[in-house]
Amino acid sequence: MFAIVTLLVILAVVAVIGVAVYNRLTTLRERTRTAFSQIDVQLERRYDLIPNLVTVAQRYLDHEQDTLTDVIAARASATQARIEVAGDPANVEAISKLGAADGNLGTALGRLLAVSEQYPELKADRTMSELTEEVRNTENRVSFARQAYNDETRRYETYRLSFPQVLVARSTGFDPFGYLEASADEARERVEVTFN
Amino acid sequence: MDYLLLQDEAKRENRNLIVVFGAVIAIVAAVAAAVIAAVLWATLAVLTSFAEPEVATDADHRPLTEQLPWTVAYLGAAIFVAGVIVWVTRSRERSLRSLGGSGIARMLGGRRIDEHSSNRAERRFANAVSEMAIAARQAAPAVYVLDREPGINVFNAGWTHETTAIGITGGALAALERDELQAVAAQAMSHVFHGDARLNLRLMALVTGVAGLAMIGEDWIEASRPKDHARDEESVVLPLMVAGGLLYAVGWIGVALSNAVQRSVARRHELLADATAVELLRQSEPLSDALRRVGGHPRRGGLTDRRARSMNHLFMVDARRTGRGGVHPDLRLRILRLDPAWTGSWLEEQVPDVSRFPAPHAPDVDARHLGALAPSALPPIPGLELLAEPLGAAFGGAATPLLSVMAADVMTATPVVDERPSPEAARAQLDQIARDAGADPDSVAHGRSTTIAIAADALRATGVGSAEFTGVLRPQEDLDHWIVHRLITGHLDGPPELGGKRRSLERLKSEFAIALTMLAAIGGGDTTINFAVGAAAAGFIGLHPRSSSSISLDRLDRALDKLSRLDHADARRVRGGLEATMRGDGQSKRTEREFVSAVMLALHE
Repeated sequence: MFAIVTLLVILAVVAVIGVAVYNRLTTLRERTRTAFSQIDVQLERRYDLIPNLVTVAQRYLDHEQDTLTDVIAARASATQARIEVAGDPANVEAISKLGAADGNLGTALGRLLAVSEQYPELKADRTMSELTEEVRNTENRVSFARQAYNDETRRYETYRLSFPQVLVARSTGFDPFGYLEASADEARERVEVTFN
Repeated sequence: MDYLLLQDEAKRENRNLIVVFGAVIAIVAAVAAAVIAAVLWATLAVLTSFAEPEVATDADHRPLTEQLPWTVAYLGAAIFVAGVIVWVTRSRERSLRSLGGSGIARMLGGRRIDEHSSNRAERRFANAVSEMAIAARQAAPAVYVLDREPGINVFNAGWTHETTAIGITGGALAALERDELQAVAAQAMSHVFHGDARLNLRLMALVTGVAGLAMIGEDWIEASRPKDHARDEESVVLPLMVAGGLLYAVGWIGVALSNAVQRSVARRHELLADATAVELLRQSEPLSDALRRVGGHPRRGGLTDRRARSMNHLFMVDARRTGRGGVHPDLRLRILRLDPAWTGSWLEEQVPDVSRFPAPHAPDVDARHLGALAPSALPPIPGLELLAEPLGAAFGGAATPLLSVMAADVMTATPVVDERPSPEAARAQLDQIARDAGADPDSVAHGRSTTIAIAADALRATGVGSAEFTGVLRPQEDLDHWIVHRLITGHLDGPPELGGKRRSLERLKSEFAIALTMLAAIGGGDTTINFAVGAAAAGFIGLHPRSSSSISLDRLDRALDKLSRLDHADARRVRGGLEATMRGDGQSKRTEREFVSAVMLALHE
């Protein structure tokens, strides 16, 4: 009798712990998904801004078509990668591709802004000046959204892979999430843009 | 800098200090209860020894002191003391919560800004705040600027995450680079992230609760003044005076101790916020540079407004210019924690070299008598006569001399003044002033509200207040001068006083209808439909316009005075309604825009 009661108590404690762990995993997973959706919002804002930027720059950058073409191409790749991710941060391969494509776009944008510094008429253009601040703001937003997502992913993964949470996670289908890493190109060619 | 380690250290120290704070409050309450119980019990003992036996004992001949054991007396006193502390604390919390972050920001003299501001520096800071909100995974708070403050400082206010507001001084906007703006925004957001404002307000409220004991002690002392009582009441008066005196002393000692602990908690919060800001930015240089720039500034983080200084705990650095002590850690300590290799050098403010420009001719007139001056009596300020014509066309005859001097003040304060400008040069200088202020030059000469906003700072510096304009403009009794008067007083008058009951828009429907009717009448067209569009946008269905002919300027003033008691959310509804009416006919006239600006300035938005 005593053994049965003890067993029941143990089972009850395990069940309570299991439920608490499951709920915590669910909370962390949803926060990670929310953080990922925030990246999506900022990426969309960034992709929407680029056509305006290219249109204004085109008026002045007759001899820099390669730079403009790179930006347009990088935007197209990043847009495609974003579609492939389809809001699912558990798609690790797609996340990695998005990170690389987005990094390439950041590099191309940085090159465009650096080139535009050599054209005084473009620099003095009021629309360009406002757009430059918008681009800087948008780049920062994307970067911080990515950072926030990686922070949430780290918290989720750390909890998910710890013991005994890993037992609950594996048995209830909590999949890992991928990190959004900066591309190697972006790390080497990061361009600091300032307008005097 | 290992920001995670610093965060853990700051959090641990914080927890310990909160425990100490709680212990201080508990000890003060216990001592106060003991004082009250002791005095009560001693009074009973004295009464028992001097009173007649049939009064001093019960039916079983037990003395009164046996009927009231010490433990019961102490328990009763403890409940009384706890009740006082809790009641005063809750009252104080309620009054502090009623303001909200935006209310506090406006009380400090703040003006709301957003990402679409025409001022580049404001736009950069608003963008920086939104970036840091994303990094901190918080909703972006409302952003304010304290235009009149030349020091470098940032504040955050608000009881909850939803009602938080972040503000920056005009001096900081001018002095800080973009990455430094981002760093101070991160520091302010860190406070939001940790809920520091809520904890600080609770601690402040508890300190006030302890002060409540001292106030009760003071009341008892006052009630026991010997001359107010007959001789035979001295046996009651004396214990009351003793209890009051002891309670007064215990209360204020408790306030001093709990204040000291609360200041320590606030200092730890700042260090924690610095470490969290570095975590958000992933680098420490921008924040350390921003703090070095504070140290190198002549005013440091010092504020001129007394109310702002009284809210010192809301600011990033000491607002009293001492740079050390109080609720902020030493500036040098903070920089060394961020940059251990710092050599002690500050980032000095860059002062422009103006020696190559001609010395400006300052007006030698007492600005307080401007209202009595005719244009011909004004001093020979270079270019003044060239400003008179465009300003006269824009502002009307009575305001021309006043506003000419305002604009001239602005011109003489800048290093681009030419002694004998040509008409084109004078116009170019005015355009330059507009651009420096972030305004569209085309709007300056034809946009009165923009010109007034630009010149208001210069006018405040001369010591002229809105009263000087009131005497000239109000007697004109027409809407055009009323608008100019409201725009000027809106920019020159100080922020609302702390406290006061907020009103809801539902209770001020009639006042809102007066303002909306006036706007619909200004716009022309179908007034009824334009009014209905605006009322619906503000959330009112079935609200009827007033007869515009019955709305006098005095009545309009009274309506705006009542509407100025609205909270931020309802003020936004008013703005939404006015803008919907303004655009109801598909176009917005200059007078309509100015009227809306005048109303929103009255609502401190």
